[in-house]
Amino acid sequence: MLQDILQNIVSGASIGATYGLVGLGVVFLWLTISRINFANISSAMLGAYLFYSFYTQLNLGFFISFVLSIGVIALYGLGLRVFIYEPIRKRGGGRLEFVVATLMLCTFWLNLIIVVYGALPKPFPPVFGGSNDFISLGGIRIPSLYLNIYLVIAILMVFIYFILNKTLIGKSFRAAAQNREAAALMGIDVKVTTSLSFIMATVVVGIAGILLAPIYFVSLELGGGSIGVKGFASAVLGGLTNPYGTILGGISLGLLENFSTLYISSTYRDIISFSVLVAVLILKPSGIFNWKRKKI
Amino acid sequence: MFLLETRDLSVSYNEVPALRKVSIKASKGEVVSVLGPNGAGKTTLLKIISGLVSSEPGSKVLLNGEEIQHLPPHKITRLGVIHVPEGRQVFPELSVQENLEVAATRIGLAKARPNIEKVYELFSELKSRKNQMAGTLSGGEQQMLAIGRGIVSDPLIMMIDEPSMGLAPVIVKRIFETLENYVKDTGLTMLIVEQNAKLSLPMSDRVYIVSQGQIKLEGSVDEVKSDERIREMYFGGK
Repeated sequence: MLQDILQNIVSGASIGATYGLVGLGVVFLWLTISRINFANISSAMLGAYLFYSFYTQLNLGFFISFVLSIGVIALYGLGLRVFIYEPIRKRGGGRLEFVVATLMLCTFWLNLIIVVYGALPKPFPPVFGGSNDFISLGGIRIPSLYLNIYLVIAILMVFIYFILNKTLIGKSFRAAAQNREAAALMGIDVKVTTSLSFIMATVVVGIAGILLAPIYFVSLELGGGSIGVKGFASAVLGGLTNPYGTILGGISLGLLENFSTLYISSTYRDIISFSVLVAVLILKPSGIFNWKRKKI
Repeated sequence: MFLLETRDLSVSYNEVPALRKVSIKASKGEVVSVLGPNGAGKTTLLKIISGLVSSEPGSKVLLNGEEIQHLPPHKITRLGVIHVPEGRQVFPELSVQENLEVAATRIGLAKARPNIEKVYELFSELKSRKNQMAGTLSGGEQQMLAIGRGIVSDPLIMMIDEPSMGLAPVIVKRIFETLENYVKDTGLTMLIVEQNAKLSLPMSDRVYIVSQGQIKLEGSVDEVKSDERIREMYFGGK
């Protein structure tokens, strides 16, 4: 019994943390340009398919495939700014126009993937450990996959913290997020910090896609539907502005899911977790993991 | 040649003219005051110079004789025209130290280190709060920080907008004294916008009086002070 609970904590929290990563994509854009990117989750699908192509189809090895996938995703993020965000803004478009454009973009990517790869899911190579790899820790079996998810997310969060708090570009990014006009008066090129936010937003979600692919396969599910919504939900729990709260929000969501499956039924899983989310939104719209932070 | 010069600056908001053909000049080492009632266009004038507001065609801003009115604000800042904006505009969720560091964008962090130390020397309150979020500072400390950011960026000309706004007289006095001493020591060129003439005139070399978007009067501090109307308006008669 206790073992079941611990087991579920381990798996729920790791999947949840990847939802949190998807949520970070939302947060990084909201912080700087106050826009919601409805194609946020597309980066997860693109990350997974790119990695699949580089690793399985082109045999490039884990490290090169990973770096190449992330590199392409980063360029894609820059492209989003240059070809979608800026043109809309320059022609006087506001939030709604950006929402509609990205909503269409999300569908565009799903269909492009079907054209290029076909609609059937593809197996993701067991780069994070096969289904039978695990380590035992006091009676609980921790699958290597989950362990690796924790590891990657921990490294990523330390890296993000370092960039935002210890480098001048990161501090400029935070300054521009707090006051664009004053940032420009400091000599900060707001275009650069906006680019950085698009790149960070797409890259974290791309990495989330690669981490989720062993569970969901390399499939269209990574490009829309419930994972994207869970990412948004995590971001909302973090008040749309707190990156660390967003990861915590994702983890809570993952735990909630796993425990509803364990104690009630997997059929009701999403019904229960989304009911809780709606309740949270009604009771505390500013997010429950949105503490007055000392630092973003 | 003047360090900074504006020629025929005009701008309208919703077709209501806010500035009409405003020309001002500041030589190197000069402290120039811009006085005028609320809504006269003083803030707009600074915003045009720093690139935050675009002016109408025909308007010119010259820095050392070169036109800069077409440049975006971050480039104008990088040239050394530093705008300390109205209402402080510190980054509330950056620490005091981080606020000063982002102001180093123009000259690079390595070169700015001594300037940051200088700011801490001028405003010791800031030093003891260097790791505190700027949003938790008092209004006076935020104004010190805003001026401090200006100093860090090593300005060719510093433009300060209403530094006394909303502050207690004792704090205002302290800020102006520090500023005056700093200007004396360094020969900094300054353009200072202030409603309270008693504060800005003692440190100024020349004055422009702006009203309803136009320059009404310009001259040395003594000339302006001896003008009847001005004396009545700004110094309560006598």
